[in-house]
Amino acid sequence: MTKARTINTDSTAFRWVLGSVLAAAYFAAGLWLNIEPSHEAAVRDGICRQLLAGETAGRQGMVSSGWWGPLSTLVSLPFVFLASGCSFSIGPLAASAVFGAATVGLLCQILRLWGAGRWRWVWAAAFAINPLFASECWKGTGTPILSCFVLLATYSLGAWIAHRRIRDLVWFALGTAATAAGGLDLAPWVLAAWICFAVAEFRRKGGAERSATLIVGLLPGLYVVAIWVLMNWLIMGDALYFLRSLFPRVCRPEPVVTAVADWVLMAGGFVVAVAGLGLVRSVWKRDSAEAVPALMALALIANAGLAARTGMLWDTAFWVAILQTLAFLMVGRWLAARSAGGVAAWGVSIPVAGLCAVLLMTRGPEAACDLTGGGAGQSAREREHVSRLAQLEHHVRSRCGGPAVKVFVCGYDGFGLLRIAPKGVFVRALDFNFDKAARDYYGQSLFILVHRPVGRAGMDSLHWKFRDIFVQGGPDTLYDEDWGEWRLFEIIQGSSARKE
Amino acid sequence: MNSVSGCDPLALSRIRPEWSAAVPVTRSQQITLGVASAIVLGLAIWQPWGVAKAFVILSTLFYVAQTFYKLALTRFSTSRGAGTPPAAAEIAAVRDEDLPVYSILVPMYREAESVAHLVESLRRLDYPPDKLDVQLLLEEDDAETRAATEAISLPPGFRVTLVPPSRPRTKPKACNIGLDLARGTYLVIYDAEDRPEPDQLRKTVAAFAKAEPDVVCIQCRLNFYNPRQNILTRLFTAEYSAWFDLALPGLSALNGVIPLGGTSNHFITARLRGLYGWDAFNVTEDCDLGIRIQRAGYATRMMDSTTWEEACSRIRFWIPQRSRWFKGYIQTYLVHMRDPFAMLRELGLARFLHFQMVIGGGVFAALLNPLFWAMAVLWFLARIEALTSLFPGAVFALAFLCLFAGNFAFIYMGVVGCYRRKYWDLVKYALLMPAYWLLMSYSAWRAFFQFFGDPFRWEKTKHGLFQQGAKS
Repeated sequence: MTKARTINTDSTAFRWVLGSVLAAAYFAAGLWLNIEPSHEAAVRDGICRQLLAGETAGRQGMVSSGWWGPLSTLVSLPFVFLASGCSFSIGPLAASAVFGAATVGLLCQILRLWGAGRWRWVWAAAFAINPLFASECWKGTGTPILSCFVLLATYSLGAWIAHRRIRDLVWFALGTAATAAGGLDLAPWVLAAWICFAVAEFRRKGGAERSATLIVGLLPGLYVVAIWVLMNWLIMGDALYFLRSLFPRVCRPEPVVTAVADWVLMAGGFVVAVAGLGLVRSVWKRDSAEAVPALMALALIANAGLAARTGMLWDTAFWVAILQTLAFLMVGRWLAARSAGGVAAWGVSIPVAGLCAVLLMTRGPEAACDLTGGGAGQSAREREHVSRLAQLEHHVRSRCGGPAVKVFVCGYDGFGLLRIAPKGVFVRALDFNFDKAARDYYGQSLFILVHRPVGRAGMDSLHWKFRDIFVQGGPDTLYDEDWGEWRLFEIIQGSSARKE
Repeated sequence: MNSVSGCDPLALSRIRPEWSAAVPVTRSQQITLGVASAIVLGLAIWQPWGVAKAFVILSTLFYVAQTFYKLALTRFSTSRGAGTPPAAAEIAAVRDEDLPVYSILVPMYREAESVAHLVESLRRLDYPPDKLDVQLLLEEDDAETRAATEAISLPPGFRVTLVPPSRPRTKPKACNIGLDLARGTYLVIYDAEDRPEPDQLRKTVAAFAKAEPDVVCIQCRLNFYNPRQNILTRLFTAEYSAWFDLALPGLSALNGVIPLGGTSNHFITARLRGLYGWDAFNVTEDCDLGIRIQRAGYATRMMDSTTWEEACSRIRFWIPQRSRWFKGYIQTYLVHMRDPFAMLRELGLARFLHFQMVIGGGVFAALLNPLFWAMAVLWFLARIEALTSLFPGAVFALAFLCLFAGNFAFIYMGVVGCYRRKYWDLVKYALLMPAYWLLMSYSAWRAFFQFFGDPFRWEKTKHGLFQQGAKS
């Protein structure tokens, strides 16, 4: 077991400078390589802009879906505010870059605390340039944000069990709370972390100390969940609104064995091996600081398997990037434990570390960066959106022959689609209600635009409130036309609505 | 008995009146505040909604700053410079014959029931009795405490100093007399009910020996020996644990301005005399002295040694005590903001901002909280749309952050403070801190009005309730 070391605050300024440089590098690289911001970044940007504009849609967007957790929105908010004059989704890109740098810095700091020498910079650099992780930073996804908190919670749990320092307990509590606020994707993992923590506590003596420890360790996470429920009650009028999409019919569940096996073979096989070996080694060496990352990595794999089984594995890159983070941590732990050895130890460590780095960087989904963006601060997708919206507006106006027309763009994808659209015909609708729409826009021609229920879009409230709406249409709707992944329906206003 | 002739307990207000709260609000401050109030009032009549919005925006920004500031202090409370005591070997290395004379001042007023406990606590100090210079500072007209003191035989090194009755009748005035008569190289203040850890004086001597030359004061941590007496003492303990074990060590690590706690602040006597002691007109003279130490170019450090006090266990005594503290903070803030530019020059920007956040911010937050809590409750229960329009876009997000994350952070600091003190059973009580904040806000408003009506009134805290309860 390594000796606990305190953080050297003298180098705090240095670490801040280095972290800032790395964040700037991620950000600049993303822009310089002309990488198309992810769909997620565009949606986040749209939610943030609505929030900053004080619109109800923004508040609803922040809390109303478990699959669009408030964490990434909240951390992107200051960046979107600072870049509010820019039409490009620059805020989420900046947030991802900052948290990407923070993850790298945290990994480096953990290795230092584990007694790693200067080679930790090399290992951290290998992690930083890992194409999958870097591309997630460039594309502005929420993955680097969650990676950072998963890494923090995992390390802190191990350190707490090993050394029982209160700051580790607090970091664990804050790490799991932030991860819980990240969305339902990682909820089983957070639960596993809490169970792991509780089991470790129940193996110790001392009733009062145990209950106090459990309060300190679990309180922030439970508080986050309680606040999420409260905000749903306040904003959506239904405390459990964000959970209503948990088991919609639109998902296509896979047999569990096939799902896990496919997923493991495709992406996580090497990480499973590393975690398994780490677990065996930690049991052998009785090293809880190593056992916890291995257990948490296995829990993450199980979490991903569960997501695949229930048809909710939207984005493999998200899972693999977080798993890679833990894998880098585990291999780093192994290297740190061997750093005290002589030349012979290093003779083995260096080739193994090199092999691990190569395997970690090459196994898994390709770093899918769309290099078609750029040009006058507007991405290809945004140009396509603008053009499609113009065509759509022209279409509905020509259909109705008058100015009084509204198109409700439903679901979270509407935030991305309407991010920079002018106000007028299009209305964001996250919690769509046919009667209310007919009342509010009485006498106007009304349409709804529904996204095909694939991926996270299938979790939008429209799909669990009006089952099969995409295929069969909703109450009083008439199929109009398909627009790519979107389907346009006209709302036929019945006499009941007029009476109200 | 000591003769106090020749002592000047009001020296500070005579020699450096600009540093004294003898004049609570100076003429220039009156004019500035008057003009500012008139402008705000005029704007409020002309554009009431705009002024309300501006007020909400500024307050929200203040809350955000305060939240992050307190979190930063907590984070730094575990870093170097946060008050690590000297190592046991360093303490043991100081031989008895090398220890300097140590003065202990114990101001007492109507505390006859505490005398025996006090003498016992001080007798337990691990320090050569011949090098102790303990002064019990009694008011001449406090016959009860004088009788209690005369009834017991004081150990060697103890003496009684009688403070003649005069205005203002405050603890710092008594302390200044004690300071004039002190013989020690170092000096510390204890309250009558205090129980310092026995090795505190030795630790302090060792800490001064290894401290930087500009350190003239070492503040020890305070906590309570009756934390479980009732719910109020439990919450008070949670607050003290967060303040003395997290916030002040964080301030020390950041080299910020440390508002000294009421007792267990150890000084280099000569330096303290050079600062003219305490301000007899300030009802939180300790806090004010902490700022003056920094302005004079000296420094204060925290040390991890605890003095156990009695937590006030009755609300009717707790509120006057807290009101006095808030009133003292208001006095201190106004005294040092008489010339903000001079203060900025003397403290530097970082410490100037620390002062704003700790002294001004502490009072301002307590005054402001009820308003924002009321708005939150109204919004939750009545969904008043007009309130929503007071929080435009980004301000709503920030207010959301403060309401849910900020308030939680303050509760969690109390939880962590209790945990760090190993008060396992009190951790759950720290969750009730919001109820305690209501009392604090009430006290803050009481202090605010009292500041204008009766600025020098010293509301004495009633001690000895715990012992009385134990006896009964």
